[in-house]
Amino acid sequence: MKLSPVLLAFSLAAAGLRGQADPWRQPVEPRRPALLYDRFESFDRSDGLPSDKVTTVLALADEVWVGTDHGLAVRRDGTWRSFTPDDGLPHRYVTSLSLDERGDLWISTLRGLARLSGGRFQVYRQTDSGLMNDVVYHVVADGPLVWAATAAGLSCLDTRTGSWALWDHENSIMHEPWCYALAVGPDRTWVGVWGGGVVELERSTGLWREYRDPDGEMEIDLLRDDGPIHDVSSFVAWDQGVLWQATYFGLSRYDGRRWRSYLAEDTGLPGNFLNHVSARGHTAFLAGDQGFAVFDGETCVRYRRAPDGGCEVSIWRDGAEAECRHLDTAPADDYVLWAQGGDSEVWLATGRGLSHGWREGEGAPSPAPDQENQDGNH
Amino acid sequence: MTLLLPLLLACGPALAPAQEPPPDPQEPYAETPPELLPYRSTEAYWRFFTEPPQFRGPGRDDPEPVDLEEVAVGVVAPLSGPDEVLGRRFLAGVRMAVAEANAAGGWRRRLPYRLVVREEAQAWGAAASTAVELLDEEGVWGIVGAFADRHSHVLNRVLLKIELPVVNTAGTDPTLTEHAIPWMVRVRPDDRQNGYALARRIFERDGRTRVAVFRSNDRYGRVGIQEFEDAARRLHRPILLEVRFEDGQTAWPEEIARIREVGADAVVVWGRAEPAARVVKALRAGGVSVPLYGPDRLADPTFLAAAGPAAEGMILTHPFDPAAAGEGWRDFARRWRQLSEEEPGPVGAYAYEGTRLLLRAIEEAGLNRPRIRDALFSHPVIDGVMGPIRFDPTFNNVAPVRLVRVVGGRLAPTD
Repeated sequence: MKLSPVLLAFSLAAAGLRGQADPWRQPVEPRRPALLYDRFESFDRSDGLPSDKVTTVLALADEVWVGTDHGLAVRRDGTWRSFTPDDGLPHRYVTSLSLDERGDLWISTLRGLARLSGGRFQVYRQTDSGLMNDVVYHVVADGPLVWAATAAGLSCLDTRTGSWALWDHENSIMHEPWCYALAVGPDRTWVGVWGGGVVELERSTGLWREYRDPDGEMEIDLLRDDGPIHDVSSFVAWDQGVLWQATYFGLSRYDGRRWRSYLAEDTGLPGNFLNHVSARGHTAFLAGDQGFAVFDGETCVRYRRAPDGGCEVSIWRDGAEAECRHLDTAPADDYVLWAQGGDSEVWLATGRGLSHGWREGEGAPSPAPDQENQDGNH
Repeated sequence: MTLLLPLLLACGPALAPAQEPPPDPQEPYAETPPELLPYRSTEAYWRFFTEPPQFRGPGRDDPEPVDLEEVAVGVVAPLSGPDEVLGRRFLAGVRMAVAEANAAGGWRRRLPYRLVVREEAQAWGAAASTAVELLDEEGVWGIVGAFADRHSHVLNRVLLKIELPVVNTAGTDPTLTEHAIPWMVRVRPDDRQNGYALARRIFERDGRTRVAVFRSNDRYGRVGIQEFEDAARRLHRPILLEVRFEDGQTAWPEEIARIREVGADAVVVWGRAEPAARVVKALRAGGVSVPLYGPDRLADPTFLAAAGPAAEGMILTHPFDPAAAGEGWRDFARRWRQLSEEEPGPVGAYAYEGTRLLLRAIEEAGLNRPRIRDALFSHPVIDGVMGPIRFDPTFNNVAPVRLVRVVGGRLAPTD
């Protein structure tokens, strides 16, 4: 069953999930000092993961779910269990994970979407559901709604009714329907679009808005802080009134009034090629191809492996490196595909395994991170 | 074509890195002429694409498989639909390169190459699934394709996930390589180069001042004309009028009347070969006698045959200069004619060249996809059968395009 976008607007508003609050006027948690993780541990195939290439991670109160390029895995009570297409997973390559309000796990893959409920996979594909395309780059469960960014548009499943709403270049502001990431906030859904910057859906009205780099040229950013740093978005995240846009050309931040642009060269980002961003409060957790970082718009703490196997921590303020530290332990690799962070710990999906970092003195807690911080949308 | 393959044991020339220096990354991006630079009076906050994209992920140390019996290479081509004719030519070029490589002994004289052909489905997003299937089910080591730019964009994005090298030989959308994803190179010059060449010819050489655009109402028309229109504006000759045509349309009385009413002194026709040919015929039949211009997509046997005498005198861009390409091109054309009655055209020629580039990378790097990627991105200039391919930092061919004039139903060089 498919639902028109207009009807969906009323449906979404009626859901009252986040009311119609202004996403740019949100209560903000007290500012924290720059986050520093002091210890890292890592897991790979030798520990029971299906692959060393970890693509996404979702840490919950008592378990950690991990997507890889060769299946899904979960760690409970210190033991890993894997799921592959033989178990019902729609495809070996998992792109993202999200937990819904009923405790079901949603899994996006390169060949369909799946819901893991009661130990069974229910698979959604383009040919038998409202999924716009089988290549699903990102899934976010928000209340009873499940949003999916696909290679050919945006899909939204209302799990109460089983109805789908679909958007692409023919019924939204997108010039092309190539959706790669999404974030959900009060009355808004933001979509990172390939070559289209960020588009915003106001759910209560069904109206769309577009955020593009105003200079209109792919090869330059003409003016700093005039909009998204580039139109090729790789990821988006929102929390407490701040929207982050990760790109392969740097990072952008929007608070409803002003855009800010950040580059590795003037901020200390882990390179300008950013695979993923998640958000907690006004802090962004950045996964890049040269390490990962925690950034609050002023202070950037970047983590990279050191030649001795430890970790080099570079702390940047006011456009320059202010401090450098060395840790004895490091993430598994600097090629980081996903970062889910919180006050006390961080989980990283890397090209050579899953890494877990935490703050010294707080021990190595069993997986007990910030449950709200899923996909950078809360 | 298959029956003739045994005759082709005398294989094509080796594809070699050229001695010509690569484009200077400090030069204007894509070798843009100074007068056509965007915002040329303002120093940009940041300039992208000043160095080749890097793949910093792991995988280069992964062992090569030892039990293979062939080396699979994928191709995504339009086998039906509006691009079917060009798709056949595209596929013929790919097949020719693979056949020559196999005649020379295959991969490292040990394993034959196996071509896996997939239809370029018309549905948006289908190319992404196709790439995943080619990797999962066929174990391809690289892909040639896709053909249409909208499919190639979709293909590109999934490459970062599946880490599969791709050579694009048919796309002309300038943004196709403007994303920093380090898995795709393009060998055919793009519509940025076409737009620059046309703008300089029309406004500077021919002195036209009142130019109209008649373009296809699709992605190719919308994106393709953009650089030309930007260049026109930067030369202080903004286009006078833009009207559009649909793919299946056959008559445009209102659009042609508007072109006549505004007093255009030149018309740029931008679209695929068959509909553009109908437009050209309608323009001439409708009394529009001013010079006509068009992009390299029209410098093709399909357009010339379909447009007939209406295209006489039309000036088009052409992605390379056959005369300057010399013996390499003539030898290629001879070998092509042994296989096909059709001319290769740029589509066939670049498909051949791009496939050779991919096969050479597999040969050099071994059966390891990150290393194949590295090999693809390791030669900034290559001597091809059409002359040098000069990659800019995005690994997009910025070798200068040429201008040709339609004379007697054929393409003749022009200044």
